[in-house]
Amino acid sequence: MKRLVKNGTTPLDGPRPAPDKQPWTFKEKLLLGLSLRDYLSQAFRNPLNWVAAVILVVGLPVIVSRFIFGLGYVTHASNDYPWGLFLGFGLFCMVPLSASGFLLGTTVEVFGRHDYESIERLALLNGLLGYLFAVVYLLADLGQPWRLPYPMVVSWGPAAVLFLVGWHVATYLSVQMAEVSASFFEWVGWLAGKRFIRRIALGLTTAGIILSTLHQGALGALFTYAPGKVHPLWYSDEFQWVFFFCSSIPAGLCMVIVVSTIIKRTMGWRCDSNFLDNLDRLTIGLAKGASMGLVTYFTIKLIGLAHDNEWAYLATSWGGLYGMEMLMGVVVPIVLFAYSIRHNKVGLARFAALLTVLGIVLNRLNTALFTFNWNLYQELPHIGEIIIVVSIFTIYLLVYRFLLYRLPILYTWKEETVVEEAVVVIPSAEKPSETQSLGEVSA
Amino acid sequence: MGKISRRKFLAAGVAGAVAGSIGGARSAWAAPKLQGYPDGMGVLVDLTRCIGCRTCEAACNAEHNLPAPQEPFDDLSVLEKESHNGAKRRTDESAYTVVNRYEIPGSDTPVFRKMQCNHCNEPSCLTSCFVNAYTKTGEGAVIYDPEVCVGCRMCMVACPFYVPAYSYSSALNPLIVKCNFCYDNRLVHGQPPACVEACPQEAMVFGHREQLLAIGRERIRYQPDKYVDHIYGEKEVGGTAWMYLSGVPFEQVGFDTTLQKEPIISNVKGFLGMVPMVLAIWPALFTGFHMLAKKRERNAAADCQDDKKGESR
Amino acid sequence: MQARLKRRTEILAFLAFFSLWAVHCTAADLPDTVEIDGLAKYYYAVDFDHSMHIDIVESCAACHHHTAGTPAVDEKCTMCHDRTEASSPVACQRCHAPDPFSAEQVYSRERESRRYHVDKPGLKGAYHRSCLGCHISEGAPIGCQDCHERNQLGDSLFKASLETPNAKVAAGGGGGTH
Repeated sequence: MKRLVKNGTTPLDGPRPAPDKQPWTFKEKLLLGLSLRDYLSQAFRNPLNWVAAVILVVGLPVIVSRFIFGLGYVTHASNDYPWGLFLGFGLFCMVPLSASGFLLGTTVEVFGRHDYESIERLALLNGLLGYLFAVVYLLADLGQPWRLPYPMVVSWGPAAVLFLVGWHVATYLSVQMAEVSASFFEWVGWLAGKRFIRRIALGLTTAGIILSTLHQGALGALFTYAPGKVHPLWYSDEFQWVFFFCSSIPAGLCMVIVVSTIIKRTMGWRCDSNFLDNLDRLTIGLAKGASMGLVTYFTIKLIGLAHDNEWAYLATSWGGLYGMEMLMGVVVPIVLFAYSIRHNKVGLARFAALLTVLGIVLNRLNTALFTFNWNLYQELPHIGEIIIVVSIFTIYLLVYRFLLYRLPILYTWKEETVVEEAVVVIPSAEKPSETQSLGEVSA
Repeated sequence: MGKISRRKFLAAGVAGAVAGSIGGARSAWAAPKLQGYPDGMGVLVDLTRCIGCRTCEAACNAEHNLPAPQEPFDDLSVLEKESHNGAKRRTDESAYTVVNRYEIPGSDTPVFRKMQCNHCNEPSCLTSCFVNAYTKTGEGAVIYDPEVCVGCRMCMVACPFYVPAYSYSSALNPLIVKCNFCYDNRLVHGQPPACVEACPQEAMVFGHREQLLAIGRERIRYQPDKYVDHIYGEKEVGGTAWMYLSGVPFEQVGFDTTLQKEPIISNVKGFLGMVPMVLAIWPALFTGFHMLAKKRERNAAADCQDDKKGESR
Repeated sequence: MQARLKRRTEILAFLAFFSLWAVHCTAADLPDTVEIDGLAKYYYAVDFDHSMHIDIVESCAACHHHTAGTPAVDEKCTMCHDRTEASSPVACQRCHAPDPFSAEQVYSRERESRRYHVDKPGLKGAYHRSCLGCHISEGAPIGCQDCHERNQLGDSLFKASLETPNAKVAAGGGGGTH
């Protein structure tokens, strides 16, 4: 794709240019305005597609076999570890990393920081896809996935935390669907729909804040049902939901930094100047938010340690794991963020964001998997589970890329530019540097 | 259904009590205090009496038509069996109950421990289930409704006794597998659970929970040298219908003695209590923020054409 | 202590008729063997060698508490049961119910909760705890099938037809063991 763009092809990013007035066909839109041959050849040239193909060739049969032969076929079928990697990674990691949607939504719509608008749509999409695939992972894990709607329509267990998680994730998924649909409506050319979404944006965002606060915390509260099973260093009766909610804030923000970095490196042709030129400045802004979140999280973790008087555990090997998690995922990122914000080192901030994301992933896996049953015995996930998790993640990345290529997430839909510019404040930006950024890459 | 069944059970009791004095008959099932399940039945398992013959396992298997085990029930080598991870046998998709053998340091007589669902007074499987698949019946049994179960296995995570198992081998209808106190086939008909009835040693006493506590305390009082002075399940996680007496410290025979006294749900109440607060306060709070932000924006716009307003924070 | 508790009951059910000679443990009047068939569903009846057991125990009270006319072994029992007449009948199941956990029994036990013997074992428990208590301490056979031969239904209950590579080793060739 990069090569095509370099050679003068303009990817589809608005209504067909002036000379001929008729609109793009749907097929043309799907193919980014390229001919089928061009589209396919760029796809075949992309080595990442080959990697994905290999993963899926291995993974899809495993996924299918899980549904034919049952969960026992691809997992340890453990009664002591009812939740494996599907939920440990798929639910408990994907959801905090998808907090980006409500965070940026709040920043822009509620606090009126319209300077973050160029990255808001990316954050919203990141949120939507994260939740969507958390549900996909959930479907792989549920014994009877076809009964997924049961807690909504068949039998209510409203006293259960999971009931709240189920309802909130479902509702929030619809909210995010609506939020992201604005870009979809632009892309298909149904402007009335887009105007409607803009009108209810504030309501959607507020709903998003409420739902997110509750279910991010609720994921933590789930573990308060298993007080003795999670290691005390990762567990607190009172603060478990605060830990999870609080850490989801830096997680979501850092996920946006990480994703935008990858996009900038690999998908520069798709971004418009509004996105690329603001990205560095916004990254530092996000880093500020993330570091504040991390400091808060770190403080609460310390209070949690002190409150339950768990210092003695730090000297054990579990303490080593805990120390590593806190150091790598919290303390070092805080220091790096502080330095990079002060000296405006965007690259360093991006690295710190990556560390934070990995730290949160480690935290969730530790809580749900590694330190679970710490008094019993430890069990590593079955190879089948790992293959399925990697395969679903690959599908997630492919869908993510598919949507980024097409929907006006990273670029502004041409028709709308006039309207948008009235709101967006672009601080003394240089001319768009499409060629510049593409120059770095050799595809 | 629960009510009718309970009435049946009580009716059976009353029939047996015809010869007795009226006052005495009432006191047997009048609630001593207004909490828990005053009419709830229970079982007191006395580990000092268990000889590890596995007859209870066999009886349970037959009663519930469970899948055949790998070894016959008279194969006692399984009592010492440990899985690859060093764990003792536990309940699984083909066993509602298992007996394990524990060597006691400093003693040459092993102790056997039967495990099955303890039928908590405040079951965490029940309170954690988002489709309400569990019911604590008036008779004290914790029963499970396979028709609504989605298969999230939260109950397995929540159970402090590691009791519910899952039929992972089934692709189309995997379900939670768990002791149901023989609720449908025996309890409601005024009969004890199959394992209790089968036990040759009468290591288990079946009766109203309150009465069992009295018996347990009496045994400890009568033979203080024989028993540890504790009835496991009297207070653990809010109390259980199945309780244990032991002659050796409970932690030596696989019991978790670190369990809290309060029901598991009490850990979760803090979070659940916050939910309505967030629902009520957040919309107002954030709309307020929004209005403030808007106002400042308007003021800034009115003041001048300063395009740096975005940096004002 | 434990042995005393276990040395509680033994024979009984079947023996309304032998209350007569039980009074002085006159061996001549006692049955030489007693057929015990309380577990007839899964096991063939046990032909209990009564006379042999009389020969090896010091007192009838070892099994019959105070009911056979001999003084009880446990001094806690003699505090109340100090007379030495035999009860009539002396049958175990006069006191130890075959169905201790039926609703009737549960309720009658709880109705009489001020009674001293509220924690009284049922018939099967009384037998086993009494027999096994001695059998363990005296080194007598303790496998299930050392005393009870299992019938076909019993075999199917225990799933005896399953392959059992190590069962015989563990169970000492006699089914269940202690």
